[in-house]
Amino acid sequence: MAAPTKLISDLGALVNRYIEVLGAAVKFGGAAIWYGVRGIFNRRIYPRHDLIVHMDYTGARSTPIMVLLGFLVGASLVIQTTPSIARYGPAELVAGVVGVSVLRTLGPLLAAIIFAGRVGAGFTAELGTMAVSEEILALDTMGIHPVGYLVAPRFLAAVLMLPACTVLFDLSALIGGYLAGTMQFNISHESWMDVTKQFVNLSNFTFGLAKSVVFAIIITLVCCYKGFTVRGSGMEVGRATMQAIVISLILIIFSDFVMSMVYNFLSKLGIVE
Amino acid sequence: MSGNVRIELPQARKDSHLRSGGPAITVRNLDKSYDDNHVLDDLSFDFERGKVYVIMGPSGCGKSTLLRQMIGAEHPDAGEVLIDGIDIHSNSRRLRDEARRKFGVLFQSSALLNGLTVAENVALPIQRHTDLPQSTIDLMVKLKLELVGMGNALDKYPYEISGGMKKRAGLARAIALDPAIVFYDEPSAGLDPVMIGVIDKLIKDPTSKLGITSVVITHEMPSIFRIADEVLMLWNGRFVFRGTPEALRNSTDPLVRQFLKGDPEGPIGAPRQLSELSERLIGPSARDARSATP
Repeated sequence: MAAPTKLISDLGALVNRYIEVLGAAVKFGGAAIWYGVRGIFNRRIYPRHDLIVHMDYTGARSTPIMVLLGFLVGASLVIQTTPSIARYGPAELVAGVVGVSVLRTLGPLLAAIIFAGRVGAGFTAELGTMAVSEEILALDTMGIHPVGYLVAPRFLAAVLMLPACTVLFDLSALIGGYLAGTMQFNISHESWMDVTKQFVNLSNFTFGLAKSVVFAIIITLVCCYKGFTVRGSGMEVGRATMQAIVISLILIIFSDFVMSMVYNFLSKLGIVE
Repeated sequence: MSGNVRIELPQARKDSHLRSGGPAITVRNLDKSYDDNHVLDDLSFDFERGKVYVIMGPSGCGKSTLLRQMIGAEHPDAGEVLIDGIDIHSNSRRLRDEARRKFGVLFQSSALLNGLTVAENVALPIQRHTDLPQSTIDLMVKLKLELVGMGNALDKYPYEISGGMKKRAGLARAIALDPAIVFYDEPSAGLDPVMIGVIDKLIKDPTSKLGITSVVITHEMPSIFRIADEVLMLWNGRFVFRGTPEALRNSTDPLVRQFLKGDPEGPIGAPRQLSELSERLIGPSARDARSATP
């Protein structure tokens, strides 16, 4: 009889622990958002200069990778789908496929995945190292809220910069697709543009952009929280970084699925286009 | 040019900024456990203002845990820590911040922010807690760094300076706001004997000149006898000794004696004592053979 009782108590303890972690993470996220917004008006929460530095690091320095990978993704998409489309109908339909899939899903999703790997991992490693070397504790004992000082500027920078990166990625992918379509498959400029206009509307773009804001919130909060909660040695920083990226990717893809379902539901009701 | 600048050091300020006439630090019935490990066991003590208190004890005895409770970095399971009468674990952030303004902490790793220069590190608490113009803050920072002999390293980053310099910069940051209390976590760890002497002087001088209360966690014996007004020895979550360095030297308590002599055999169990190890490896005959030897 002891085994089932132990199983139930272990399960209870596990659920308890997850609820505790979830509670702490929600509190952490709330503080990051609260201090991020307050910091815009109160220069004492974090230095303005830090926001600029993080915007440069997360946004401006992500430009080359976003442009390059966006271009390649767009071009590969066209190269790989055009032959199949051409088998069943006019090849220029690929312009619509690329336009809709890039703007609605591929652009925001891939930009977020690249962002998580480049920026999110950096956040966890940076903050994890600070936690291990007692820098976060030092801030707290100086009466400086560590979440306000360290997380809020990173949070704001990411929320502003990931959508910007997504726009860049989208644009590069559309250009890559266009060049591949017109040069490789001899689709004329006019027919490419015509199909694009028929398939793509503004809501595809704004929906993608809205998703990228959600992804930015997920990446920053997960990666900063994992960094903040590192205890022990430098090895733990590596482990936390790996966990942060895995959790971020799962949450990004899961939330993408949920948002797509909600959008479709709203679209059926006629609330959105 | 900057080498010729003379800076007047602050005048002795015996009052500090403790508001009450009571003890600087009061600890009541402090209890802390990690899982099954009872680290602090119903500790109660007072620290008067203007003295250097040294808390010593073998590794793992709970010194750092006690420090973490005293600076509000961790919540105790029970009991309270009052900094000048204010509960450092209060639910009100305003009260906690008020208590935190009364002390500075020099961390074992110095805990300087690596992204900021030495001067920016020292300026951080001043910028956060005062409305002073930047020119005044710059002057205060220079003053504090001169005080610890770091006037020439203002623009250096923490990763560009030595361990001893980091400690001194960390100290300058800890005393940036002229706190009434300064906590030092293993200030001499990893330093050479000369630098330990310098740090000891930097602990002792402000305490006597500015009326600061210093709480030092260390097990560096020469330092303890140089700086302490009172020594407390922690063992198994309780204080087994409290008294002057002189009383410590003359103590007949076996725990204290063993700790002072650094003897591996005694009531403070070394990680694995030689006799026990040989017994485990060779068998009880090893001990019998040794004791039988004339």
